[in-house]
Amino acid sequence: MNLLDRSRTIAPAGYNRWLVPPAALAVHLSIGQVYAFSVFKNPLIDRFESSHTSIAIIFSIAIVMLGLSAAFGGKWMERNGPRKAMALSATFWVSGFLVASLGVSLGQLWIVYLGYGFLGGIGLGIGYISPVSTLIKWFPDRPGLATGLAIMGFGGGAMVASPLTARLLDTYAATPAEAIVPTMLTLAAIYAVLMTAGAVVIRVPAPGWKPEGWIPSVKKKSMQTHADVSATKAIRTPQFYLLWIVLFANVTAGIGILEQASPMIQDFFTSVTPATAAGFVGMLSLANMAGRFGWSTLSDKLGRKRTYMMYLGVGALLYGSLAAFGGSAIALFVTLTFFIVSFYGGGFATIPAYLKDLFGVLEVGAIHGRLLTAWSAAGIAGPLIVNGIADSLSARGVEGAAMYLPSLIVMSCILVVGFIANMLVRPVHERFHEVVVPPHQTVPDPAVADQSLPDQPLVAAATKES
Amino acid sequence: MAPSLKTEAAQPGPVTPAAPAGVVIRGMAMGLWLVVGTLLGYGVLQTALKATALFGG
Repeated sequence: MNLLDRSRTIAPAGYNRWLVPPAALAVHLSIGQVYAFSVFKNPLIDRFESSHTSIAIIFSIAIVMLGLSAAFGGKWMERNGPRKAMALSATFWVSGFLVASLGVSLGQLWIVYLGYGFLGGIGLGIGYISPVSTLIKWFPDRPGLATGLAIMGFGGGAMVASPLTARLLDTYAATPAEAIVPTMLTLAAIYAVLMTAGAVVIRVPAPGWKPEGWIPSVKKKSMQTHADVSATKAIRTPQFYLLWIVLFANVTAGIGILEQASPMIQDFFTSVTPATAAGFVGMLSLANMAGRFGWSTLSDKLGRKRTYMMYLGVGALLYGSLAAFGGSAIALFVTLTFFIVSFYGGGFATIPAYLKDLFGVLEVGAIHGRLLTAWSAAGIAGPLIVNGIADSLSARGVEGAAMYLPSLIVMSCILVVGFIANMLVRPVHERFHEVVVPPHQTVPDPAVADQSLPDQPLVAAATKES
Repeated sequence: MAPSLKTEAAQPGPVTPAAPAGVVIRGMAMGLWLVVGTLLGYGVLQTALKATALFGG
């Protein structure tokens, strides 16, 4: 197990930090497969002769486990380093495929729930936060670019897995249902190799390392902290819950489009065929991935708070425009939804950098993990809102674009709530900051310290709450 | 609430730098760049081809 220790991953002086992103991308490209799960949906329905809902539960369990394992495993990951976390993630993710394929082979759906849903979901959560946290530490000067790079891989993972899985299902047997097991085993083998390579290559910077020639600005941007906040303390701050609402609003609204993309464009425009609608879904995937990298990188220049003002404020206006004018022309509909979905992707990718600004790098992975519970909640709320409204209107005989207008307006309102929450975010109060004492000093008892160090500030130079 | 006091040693991970990474690791990292770049390119190309149906269909 020594090879997996954090100490074995500390980079030597002069290590090129651009050798680290491929390790993060390797993991995110692998676990991003979860967004291509729908390719397995129809073959699984045929194999088990079950309902759509029974099969959809597999994906839901995986996403819920993603949030839970990221929330509870974050501190462990920070303590043990990224290599151990990536190895654990690979073990769970690959085991998930193996156990699920056993379930398919035996015709036992509950084993598939256990495999892909439960075990695979744990692999997702640990694998999601670990590379992000590592890249933030390598790119303190450009955290938005760093998180965008890693999380772009998650979006890209589905774009790779979707055509690959479809090809494998067509190749291995006469029917896709019969090809599920070899397809899952093939994917497991590919992801085992890719994630292992990522775990081998990953490196963390030595303590105190800074990019060459980079001098942290003394006068930082108003939202940036000079100090670190532990995960335990972070969840006691209002900032954590405001960002939870921000992420929840952004994800819920994005899912509102993504969930219904194909039927929505066909209901808005009768001239759109299912094949054309599939092209629209593909274009939204590109928007999602481009937004993750592009907007997150831009946030390094624009500032995190302003970037979220754009995602949520402009996003609300775009949703309103979609409801009001979206049905007038396909080009307008496509343009509006392209930007909405790019903001959705950007919101995912920028949030770790926002957390780094507010809480520092000490336990940013653990804090990020806890914030991802907003994703799990939005994953349930978003589809419930959109499908619930659409079903209700459909039952009353409403058809076409009118079926979506109320949910578009609801999404716009949710974004406004997120916008307000973002506007309320202020720098974290210094009472939550960790104090760094030089290593040669002993750790004094806080009560004693209060008496013996009356003239020394208890916290390092840091921003104050404004 | 009083801020907690910690030494740098109390932060996660030991401070001893590891042995210098060899040529092998650097080579592997560059190889991995090639692999993930190719995979991403494949994904983007496949998706872009699918997206052309929106304009060509």
